Amino acid sequence: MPNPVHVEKIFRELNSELAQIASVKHRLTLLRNFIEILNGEFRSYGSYLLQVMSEFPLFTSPLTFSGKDPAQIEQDLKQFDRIIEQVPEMREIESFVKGIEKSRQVCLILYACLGEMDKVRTLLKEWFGIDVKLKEDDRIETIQGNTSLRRFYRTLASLDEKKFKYESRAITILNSLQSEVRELITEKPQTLLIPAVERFHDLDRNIQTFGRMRRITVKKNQENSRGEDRIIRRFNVVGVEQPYWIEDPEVALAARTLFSYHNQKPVRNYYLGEIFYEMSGAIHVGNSANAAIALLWYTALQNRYERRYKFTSQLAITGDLDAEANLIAVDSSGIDSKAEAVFYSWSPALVVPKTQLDLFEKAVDRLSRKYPDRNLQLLGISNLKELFYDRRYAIVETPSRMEYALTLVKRKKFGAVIFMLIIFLAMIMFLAGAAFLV
Amino acid sequence: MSLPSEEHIEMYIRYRDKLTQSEIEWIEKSLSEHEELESLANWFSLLYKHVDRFKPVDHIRWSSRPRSIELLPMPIKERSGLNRFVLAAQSASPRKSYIESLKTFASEKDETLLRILKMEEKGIARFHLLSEHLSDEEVALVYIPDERIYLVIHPGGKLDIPFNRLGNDVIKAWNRCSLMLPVFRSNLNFNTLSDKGYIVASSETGIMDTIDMSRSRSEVELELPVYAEAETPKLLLVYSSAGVTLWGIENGIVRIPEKYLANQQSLFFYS
Repeated sequence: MPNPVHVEKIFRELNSELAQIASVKHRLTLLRNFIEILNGEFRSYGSYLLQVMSEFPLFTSPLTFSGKDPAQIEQDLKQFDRIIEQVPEMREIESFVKGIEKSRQVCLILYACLGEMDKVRTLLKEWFGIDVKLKEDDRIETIQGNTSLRRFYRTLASLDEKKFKYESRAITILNSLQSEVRELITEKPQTLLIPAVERFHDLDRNIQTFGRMRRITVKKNQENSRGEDRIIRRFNVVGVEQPYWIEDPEVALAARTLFSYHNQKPVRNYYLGEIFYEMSGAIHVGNSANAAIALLWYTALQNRYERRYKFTSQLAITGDLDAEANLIAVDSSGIDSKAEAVFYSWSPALVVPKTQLDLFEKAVDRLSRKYPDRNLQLLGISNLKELFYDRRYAIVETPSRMEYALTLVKRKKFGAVIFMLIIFLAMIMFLAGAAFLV
Repeated sequence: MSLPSEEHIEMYIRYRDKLTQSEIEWIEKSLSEHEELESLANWFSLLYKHVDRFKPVDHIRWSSRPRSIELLPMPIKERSGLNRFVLAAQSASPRKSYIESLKTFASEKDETLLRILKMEEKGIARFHLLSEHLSDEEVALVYIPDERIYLVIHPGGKLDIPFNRLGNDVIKAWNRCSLMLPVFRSNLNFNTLSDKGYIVASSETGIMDTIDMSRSRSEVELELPVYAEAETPKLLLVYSSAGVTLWGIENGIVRIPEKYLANQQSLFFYS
């Protein structure tokens, strides 16, 4: 039996930590640490479990579970089952019960992302009593996404509740799963994925490192009369109290350089812009998001052009860059975690600086040994312009002339109204003149 | 000349010094002449050889575990909170906890902890005792000096008390408590009880002794053997599915009215 006084001390430390941290992975790691300390004596230490599991985290967004090996989630779920078996009162802890249900769904989605379709089928039956045959991969996608995840979605979408006569719980699960997966495969304009590294201490004071995705959005606002682009960070930065922080000038310059690579006319005006992260609570450090910001700033600026490029929002990018849009290497200590972040996610490809491609390849190879069906594309590029030629992830949009004209008119709505008014008045004057002559 | 009785032979084997020289000679002569008597003497020899291997209970301790453990409030060390960032307008706690710590008593030396938890939804204070000295089947007593009450901690170390019987503020004000572990325990089956006999008591380490029992009119009397002062039980807990009662033991004797006895109960003795 673990020393109860020692367990109490650890419990207090855990409580204090849980009150301060938001990261789902961090919380789950601490809870797992605590469970391990109990050494399987869940019945004896039931009151602690009832207390700490009230703080069970919920995977509220796909970003929170990106980078997580589903086998680890499955292992945790088995441990939670053992806890419930020994402490039946755990069923009354709403956050714990909800957390387990959500973890099961997340586990299924991650296995689907990894192409482990047999596992998906087995667990669907084991956990929810749903026995389905997964759809064959019979479609060619315009924008390449995670193929196995799309296959999973098509299967879920084709299920007929009445035909299968599932219990209401199973139907709720199916609907929830379908909605979650739909969210993952749906394009989110003007966004990209950034693999990030999460570092924290566990209860034994060891540093734990995890990879996770962040979704970045760059928005172009009104013109800036100061003769420069000002992109404002709307997220917390380490050492900076005010999130109002002007981005490095190289990022905006690199975006403008990209126009010259495509023989496009340079954008004459300068603009104000904003960078957002979905789940902005995390404090950011480092410049590995700069390549993605430049790419998104470019796509934001070119929206007045007839021929536009856009990139699939499921693309993950890491890298700093210079004013010529050349990619600069990222901190090599985070490569393994970043590779994990993308590998255990729905993203079909990761763009990395060419100088670090081999390091990323080694990291992905290690992960692929366990999950050989995960087809993650690694794209090593020297300059952002190289991305425009990869039609799997870059799309050229050419709207019809009429549509383009209407867009221009819409954009210059006040100018157009005045122009029309002048024409209208001129016509009246002309007709009045003609009538006078007659 | 008559032959020695069974009692004479037993005296000869066990307490020879209590016999006269002529009695010894008479018994020895009989044993040498009668094979059956010799066999009986051999049997007594063998029996007392085994019996004498055990020391009398009053010379040993029932177990090496403590009889009682003093528990003091476990101090709460507040963390510096240097890493904590809290918005001024943030509400105190958006989530209502299922279970909260009310008070924690501990003994680092004896690796024992008594947690008192508040379960708001159920309207109870839950006592949770954790000690490697207590097995899952045993019942412990917790004496609260501030209230002068004994709390009975059920097997598994649990006790639930409704708020209306013991308020949260009262519990928070407690300064110390004593945990009492049973010295030994026994079982009493009321249906098979004879008017006179004994029940077997055992400690958690497997040491056993007998307790004299007699039943008269409407009560059951238990008379404990005489033990060393520290080993002498002073309290008896009668624990059954029907209820729990606590009785004082005076001069090794305790009388329990039959109306407090169920068909089957466990008896826990505390010193």
